[in-house]
Amino acid sequence: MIRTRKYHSNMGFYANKDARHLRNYYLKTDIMFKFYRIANKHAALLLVMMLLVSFVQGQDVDQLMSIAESGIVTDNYGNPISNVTIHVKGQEKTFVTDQAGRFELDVEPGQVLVLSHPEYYTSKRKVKANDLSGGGFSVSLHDKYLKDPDQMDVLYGSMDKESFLGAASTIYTDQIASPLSSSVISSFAGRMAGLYVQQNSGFRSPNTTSNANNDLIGSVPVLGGGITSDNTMFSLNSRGMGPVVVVDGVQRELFSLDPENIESVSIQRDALSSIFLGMRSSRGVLLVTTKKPTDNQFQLSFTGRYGIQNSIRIPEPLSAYQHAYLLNEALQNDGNAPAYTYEDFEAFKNGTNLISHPNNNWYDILLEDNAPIQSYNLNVSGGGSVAKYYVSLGYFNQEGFFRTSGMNSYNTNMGIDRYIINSKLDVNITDELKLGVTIIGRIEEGNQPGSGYSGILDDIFRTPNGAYPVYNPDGSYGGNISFTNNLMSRTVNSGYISDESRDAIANIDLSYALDSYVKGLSFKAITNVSSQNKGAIERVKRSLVYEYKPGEDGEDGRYDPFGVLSSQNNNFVSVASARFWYSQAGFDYHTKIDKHNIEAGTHADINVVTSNYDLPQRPANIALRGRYNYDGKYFAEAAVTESYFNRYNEGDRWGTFYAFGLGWDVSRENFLKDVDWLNQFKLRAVYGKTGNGVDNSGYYVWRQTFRTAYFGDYSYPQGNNYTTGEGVVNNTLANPNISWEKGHKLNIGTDISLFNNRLQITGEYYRDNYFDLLQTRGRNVQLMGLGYPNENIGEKLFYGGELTVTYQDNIGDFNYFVTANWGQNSSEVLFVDEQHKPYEYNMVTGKPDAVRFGLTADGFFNSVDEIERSAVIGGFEIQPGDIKYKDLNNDGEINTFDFSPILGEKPLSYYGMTVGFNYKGVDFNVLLQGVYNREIYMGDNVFMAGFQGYGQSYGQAYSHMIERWTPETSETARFPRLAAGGNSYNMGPNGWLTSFWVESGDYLRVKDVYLAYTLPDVVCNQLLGGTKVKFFVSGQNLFTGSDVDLRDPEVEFRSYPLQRVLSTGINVKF
Amino acid sequence: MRKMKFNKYILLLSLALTGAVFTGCQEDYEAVPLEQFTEDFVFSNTDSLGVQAKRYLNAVYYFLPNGHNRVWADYLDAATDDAVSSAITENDVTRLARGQYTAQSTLGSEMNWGRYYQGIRMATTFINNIDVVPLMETFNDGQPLNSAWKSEARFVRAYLYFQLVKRFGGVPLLGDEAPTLEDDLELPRNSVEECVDFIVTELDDIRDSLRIMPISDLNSNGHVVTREAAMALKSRVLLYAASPLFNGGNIDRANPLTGYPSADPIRWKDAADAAKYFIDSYSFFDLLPEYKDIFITSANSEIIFHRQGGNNREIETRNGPVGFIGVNLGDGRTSPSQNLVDAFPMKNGKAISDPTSGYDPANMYVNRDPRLKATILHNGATWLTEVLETFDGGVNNPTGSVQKTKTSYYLRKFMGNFENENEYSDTRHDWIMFRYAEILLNYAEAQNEFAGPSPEIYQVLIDIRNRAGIEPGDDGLYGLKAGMTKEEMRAAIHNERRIEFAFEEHRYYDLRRWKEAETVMNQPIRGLQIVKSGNNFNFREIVVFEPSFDQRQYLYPIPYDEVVKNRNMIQNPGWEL
Repeated sequence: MIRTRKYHSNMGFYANKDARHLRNYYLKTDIMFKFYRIANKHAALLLVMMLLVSFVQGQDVDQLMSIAESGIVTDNYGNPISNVTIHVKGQEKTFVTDQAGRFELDVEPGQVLVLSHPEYYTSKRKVKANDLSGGGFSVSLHDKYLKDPDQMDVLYGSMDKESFLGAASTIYTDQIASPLSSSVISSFAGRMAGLYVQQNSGFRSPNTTSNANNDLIGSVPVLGGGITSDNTMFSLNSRGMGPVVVVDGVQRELFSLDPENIESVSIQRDALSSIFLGMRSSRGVLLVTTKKPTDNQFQLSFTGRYGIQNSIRIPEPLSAYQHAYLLNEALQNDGNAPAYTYEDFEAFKNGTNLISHPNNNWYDILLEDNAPIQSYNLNVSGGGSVAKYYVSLGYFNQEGFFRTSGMNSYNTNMGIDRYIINSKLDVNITDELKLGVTIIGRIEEGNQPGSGYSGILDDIFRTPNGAYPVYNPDGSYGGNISFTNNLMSRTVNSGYISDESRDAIANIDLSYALDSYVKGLSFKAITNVSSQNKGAIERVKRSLVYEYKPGEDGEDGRYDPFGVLSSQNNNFVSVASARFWYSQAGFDYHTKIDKHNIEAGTHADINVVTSNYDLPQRPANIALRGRYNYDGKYFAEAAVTESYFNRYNEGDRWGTFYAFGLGWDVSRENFLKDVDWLNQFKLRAVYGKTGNGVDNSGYYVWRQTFRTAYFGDYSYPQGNNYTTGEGVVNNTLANPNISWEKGHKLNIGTDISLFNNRLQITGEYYRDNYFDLLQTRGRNVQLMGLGYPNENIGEKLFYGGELTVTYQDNIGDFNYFVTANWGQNSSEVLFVDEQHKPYEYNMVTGKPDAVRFGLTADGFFNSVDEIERSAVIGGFEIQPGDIKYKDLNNDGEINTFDFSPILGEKPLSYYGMTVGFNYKGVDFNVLLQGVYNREIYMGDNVFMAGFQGYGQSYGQAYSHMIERWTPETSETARFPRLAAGGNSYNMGPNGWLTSFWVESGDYLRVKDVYLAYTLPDVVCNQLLGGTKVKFFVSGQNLFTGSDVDLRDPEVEFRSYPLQRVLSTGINVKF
Repeated sequence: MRKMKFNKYILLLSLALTGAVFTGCQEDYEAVPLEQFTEDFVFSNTDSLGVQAKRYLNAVYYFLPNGHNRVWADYLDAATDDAVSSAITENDVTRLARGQYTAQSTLGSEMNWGRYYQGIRMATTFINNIDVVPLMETFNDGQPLNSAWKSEARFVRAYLYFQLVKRFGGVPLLGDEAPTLEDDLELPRNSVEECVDFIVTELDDIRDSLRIMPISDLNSNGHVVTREAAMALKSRVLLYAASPLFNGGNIDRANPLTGYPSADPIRWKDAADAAKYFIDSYSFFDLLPEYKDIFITSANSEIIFHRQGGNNREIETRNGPVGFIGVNLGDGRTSPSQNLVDAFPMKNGKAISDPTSGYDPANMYVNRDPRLKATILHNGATWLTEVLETFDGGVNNPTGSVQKTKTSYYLRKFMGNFENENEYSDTRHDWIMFRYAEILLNYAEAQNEFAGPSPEIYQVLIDIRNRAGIEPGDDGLYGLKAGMTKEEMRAAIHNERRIEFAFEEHRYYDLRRWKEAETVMNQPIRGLQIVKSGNNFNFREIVVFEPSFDQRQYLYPIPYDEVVKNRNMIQNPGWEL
């Protein structure tokens, strides 16, 4: 098999030599590919395959023999690695591999070779006798987990990392592909400095309503408006802004890409990195680069994963008995008659009659503990000097945790299936002209119970254990006047909703070297066409519920029906349809005159997005860029963009944005040249004027318009027949002067590399001043009779820093690393046209952007006397056990003048740390991720106060209610006295926030753990024909430490809970 | 060289492609979204049918409030001594009755300051633009419909201003301009006097350009504002203006924003005259013989103007007794009070407190004013062919935590005649804004205040009581005391308004304009607890709610933000915050 490997190693070499081999080559690789696939399934066929391979490559045998005396170093695919340093232990002898990965094998058996390369883990290998006796000496090296290539991707191109002046944090495939999740974002948290990720749900939230504008690739997230994209599980924040996602040079959201296809993800936060985005340049760039046909060797990788998910932190409801008992207490607190008698208590407690006094923990009844998740990816690439290809097939499946019924022939559980095919072809039409074609197809199919997963989760959350029996004695669904839709029926017997989205993306890149005209000049262009359609099929039904009333003296009882009976209907919803058309072209020029490196470029692009029935939006940019560096020591770069957007008023559609940067690598100065522990010490700064205008411009809001209202609001029934009388009504007041928001962004950073690059430190400081922010004016009086429009008036400052520290080294072939990142975002509201407030502590101006105002809680009132002595809010009937609020201005009354910041004053800080090692085929790494200075508002009345109105009755309450205030527990109580049917005084009087419900949202998670074992070369080469096989297990969200104890610090109970995922997988490469 | 040419070709092609990319695909769509139309489309000078303008007018009409379950699903009267909400959760009528609101936390369901101005702006926009539309349709004596439509919008605007005045006192009058972004909107409040004058002048102005009752084509125009509606509103506005709250009993005497600076009895005369004018001029109207049917029959002789509702079961479902299932399901939202029940006289017209009335506390529903049964449902009443059980644990008052009556009573008024029907069916549920009985009682009240009791006043009460089904009695006075003083007559008229207009959103404001709220709304609201033992019932009065009323509550606070943002806006007395 070693021959085979060598054959592969050399194939490209031959192909390079002569293009005529190309056809031949394709033929061979194709055959081999097929056989290898079969071989994976049937090991016995290996022999046949070997024979065949020998047959097709017979002509090359001589060549192989001639290198039998040398060694070869390859990667996991068997591709040769050049420039590997091979050190013979205990000797001065050092070899370096050539282009074909070969080196002269001038060693004795028994000697130990140490192989090292910046991009691979250091490996030790003992030379054996048969290595030298014709068997050939072959070593494969393992990719480093942390990569640090010299070239880095930037917006619409790539450049020398050394010349980069901005703030970027980049991760690569290994880091991205570790979590098993439906969204690639789940791997972002804690990995990159400068990107804060919060998870909002443990499952994607499919949109099945008609004409929904979100849920589309290509619609870019809006700051403050949540993220509208195919990402429905996470919110992303970079320096206070939602970043713009650019995938392979095209602005689009594509978070459900197969992680295995992604080469790198980079968050770039400075003005220069984003300036080509023109009117979107205020926001950072989240750059996603997918895998390309990398070299001209055939390679194949297959990954299969299977895992189990289970929910983190399911709430603990009160038992039916406790609920009844505490509800009586709550009712009596408010002076109402109790709802339950002593007999009721006994019945609930003893479970003597589970029809009249049930005790159903809906979480246990309706939700499974575990649900499977799996993914499979197969990708192949290869090619020659003329054409290269990369094809990837991916399948992903995740199931939800809803219980299903064997009675159904269809699936009612929540679930998602995703199929992605990604194919790329790079063709060198001539030496100068290169063409790349990418076609991505994605089909995503989802399912959920007909009643809607979120509605079910919400009702599980709100329905008391004792509300109704799941089934009546006659087997019908239980229920009553308040609970008219049985939860079991909703879960397993309400039909299903299945949604489907289809994306097709076609991309053509063209690059043309114009050296024959002007040396160093090149031209490139991209055209991208994509479309997405999303629809849902609703096959939904609903059953009646029955309340069983037993007859007197054991007679037959009565069944009273409630709710609605609807037989299964069949409805198609067109959720969204969008077309994207993007085109880009530009010239690049670079030259080197002595030590002066000069680069210049032009760029123009237009992005046409037609979403549902809206008119297309057409942002466009024309830009220039210049880069200069002197001897890798002094750097300068500048760029200017003229940006256009068609949804602004005529005459207001063009804007100018610019950025420039300077850099200095101090370590290159003569006075530091001899300091050998210092590899790099670069200082850099970027400043720019940026814009934010496409995504918040509204829809032609400069026009004063009207809309038709067909039913309900603003319509009026006509005459005695109530004929529909449509209405026409004003839209919000127009703002004829609307323009984009602007920013002045400054980034200062340093890159330090020490001790032969073992220790690397990157630090950033930024100060982004955003102005002309869209806000409504302060004097927006209601006398206007119409809503005021957003106007360009606000000003905010975001500032902070980020730090990344990486240390990696090896002890022999024990390779280890630690990389940690930290970021902090402070902010200050400079201007919001705030209405007059009498006290400084009432004012938003001058305080952080995220600050929220409310009353300050000061314990509980413990006596009527205390209430009478204290300042209170007018109109409420306050009792002992209610929250006491601080009268900050001492005016004897609690009102909005007693508002002060209760939340969000501290700068949000987040961090992550990955520790890992590689030793003899064992890879291990663990990611810790955490946040501090984060606060959450526990404002969910159902959960925190309990006993909220539900239908005509009262809803669920949770076990922490035991810790309520009572006269006996006034000293130790954690929560206020109970109330039924809402207690706005304690939960938020007049809708105001209070500090009582603020809790720390700090947490630290063991976010991701990964352990892999790669079979040793000996096994792979001798038994598996050179196929590299890796087994691995991984786990996400294994442990969470948080201050808040009642819920997960990120995901609220009404949402699909956060999932802990344990998975196992196999990866095969050759 | 060949290769060179090839390159050139490719280069040109790619440049051409790029060029096409940047210039192509224009003009496929309109430049601005035409589905978002502009003013000249709504008020088009070519739209001779006025299709779009009519739609805009519909939206103006939409701002007329529908009082059924209006305040957070409760009747406003549940914030008076006539009822409480059965809701098991916090609700706005309870907050209203308890005075649980401040300038910083107004109750949007009842004091929605901004919403009235939204309607006013829309009406003004309509008024300013409708003349552009070349309507072909004519009305009355052949004048183009423009003037009728315009006057309808002016009526709505006047009505909305009146809604503001009765809640807040004097408010800024915006005149005939729809303000723009550039306008200075730091407007001061106008005085109550200016507001009343504006409303009355508007109503007088539009009187002769509105359509006239009876409307001939009810099926298409049964909902339009008529001349009679305008005059009915004028009667009500002047009655309010003459009432103590604005005319002598102002909560802040010197403050013209809270009422007339000096009391003047002539305002009662103006009010009486306006009602009298109506009674004398519009002979179309008459009291409908069957009281219960006023609210469920369209275009009956008593309705002057109504807010369109719908043909449905909504009122029954929301307010009907609990304990029924299927289509007869009722949520029992409204619990009428014992206070209200006690206000109804006996069938002989005498108050139950009158020892000669024949009232029997053990059979309290026997021989009462028939309006009682038309207004409330009580234990033992027949409904949907069932005998209601509102005793503790009865079918219609079950134990447990479910929403149900708090007083043993359910609302009956506004519902279809389902006593002997098996199930609810669709019923017309318009909201009657003005009916003839109100004009009569407006007249009686104003005339009594101005000149004291007179035979005409007696006649009004007799007509009302006669229609209600009260017996004339030997003296033909329908239980009324002969020779009443002004004060006695006032009490009789106030009580007649209370029972005649129960749940019609009169009592809440009447208590305020009469300045009786400070007394009435500080007394407990009572219900009945009924315990069944064997075949007997034990009645026990219970307190179901303790309202609370403070002087400052006679006028609502203007939302705090509006006062802070507008340096010329002055807050109502007592509501600094």
